[in-house]
Amino acid sequence: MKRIDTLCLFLVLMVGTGIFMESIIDSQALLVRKRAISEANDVALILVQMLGIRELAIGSLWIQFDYDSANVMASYHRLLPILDAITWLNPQELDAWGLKTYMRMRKAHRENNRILVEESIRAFDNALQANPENWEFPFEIGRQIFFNIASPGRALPYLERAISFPERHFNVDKIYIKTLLVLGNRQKAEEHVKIILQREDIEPTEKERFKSMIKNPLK
Amino acid sequence: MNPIWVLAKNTLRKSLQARSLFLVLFFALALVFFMIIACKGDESFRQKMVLDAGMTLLKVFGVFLVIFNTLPLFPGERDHHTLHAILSMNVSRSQVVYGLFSGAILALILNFVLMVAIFFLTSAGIGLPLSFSMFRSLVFLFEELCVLTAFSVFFSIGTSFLVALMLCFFILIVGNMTYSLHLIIHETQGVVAKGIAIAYYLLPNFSLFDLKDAAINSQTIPYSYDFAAILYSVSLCVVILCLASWLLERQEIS
Repeated sequence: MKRIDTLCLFLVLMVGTGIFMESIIDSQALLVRKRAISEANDVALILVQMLGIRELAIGSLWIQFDYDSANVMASYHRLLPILDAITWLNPQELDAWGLKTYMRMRKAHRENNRILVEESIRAFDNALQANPENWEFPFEIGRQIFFNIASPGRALPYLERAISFPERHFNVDKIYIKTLLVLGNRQKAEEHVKIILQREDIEPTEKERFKSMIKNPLK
Repeated sequence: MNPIWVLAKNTLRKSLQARSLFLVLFFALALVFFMIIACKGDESFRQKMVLDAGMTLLKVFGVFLVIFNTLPLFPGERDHHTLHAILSMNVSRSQVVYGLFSGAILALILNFVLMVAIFFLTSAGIGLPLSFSMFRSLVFLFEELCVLTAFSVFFSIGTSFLVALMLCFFILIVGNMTYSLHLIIHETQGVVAKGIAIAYYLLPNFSLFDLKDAAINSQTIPYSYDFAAILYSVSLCVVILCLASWLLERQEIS
């Protein structure tokens, strides 16, 4: 076989296997890889991504976060950029998303800054797009909107999305029922409690708590 | 005896003489250093950190080993006039390329196995469970390093050491960022988009060897992917080595 034949044969093999391998990796994983470089706020982050040392960088950033938040020499102003860096490197880091949204919402509440609230929610919407199969993300943003900015009407669509996942924790249902009761939709809340009571994976003590939510909605 | 095998053995011997095994020692020291940093967190964090640090260090030291072990091979043979002697013994230029590549791969296997053994011992020492997925990731990493070795051989034939060094790092970065071309494809249209799409599949895509994103999403990767990855890396190596031998045949060895 001539060299040109070998070259062409293996070139075709290379392209073919490359396409095949890419078809196996699902769209979520590809979405993580395709996030916009323009969203990175640090050149070092892009370098980390380029060299493929993301996991180690995330671990180091968590150590830095721990140091900055709990140490005597704490520097709180650095916490949000650290969390932003973590979520850029890995949009699946729910803890980082939750923490940074909480911090931004509390800050916005203190300063009565509506723009910052909207920015936080918009950023979390991107996280939802990157993690469409995870119930924890809609639950986290719904919970934060409900408790931190006291806007049950805005929290409801997120919580409805979270309860559509069969594998969810029953805490999602608790917050969902609470939101419905606050919004005055008692009938829907009662219907949902009935569904919960039929579930066998929830303990009787928890079921009693669900019943008491309907009996004492203000508790 | 097959000249490729003789050249490979000779290359491995030269690599050992160049004290490439010192890299293994530095790898062990770096691993211990990261374990000390990670000891602050709880048990699960410590285990994750050691796993991430171990895998990353294996990649970083693997890249260093490949680049600094392979790049001086061809210029060394040329400068010491051993290339003349080899070619005068009825050894073809293609055989020289394949022999040097095989030797570099042998040196990589030796160092990589030692580093993996240290990593496994450390992991077992802190009670990190050794999983099959970890073994799979290591195989993928090894395949990536083999492709990088082929590129190093190619660049060392075509250019000087410094240029080859820069090109190796460039190809490593491009390989890890090839998927970014998707962004440009979506924003362009017509011939340009088609041209970029062709370039996307012709360029080496190192992110195909990185399954961490899929693992985070708990996606089960079928075993057919492993076989495809082997085929992909072998095809890529053969293509690059064919180009390297073509390049060498067009060079005048004086």
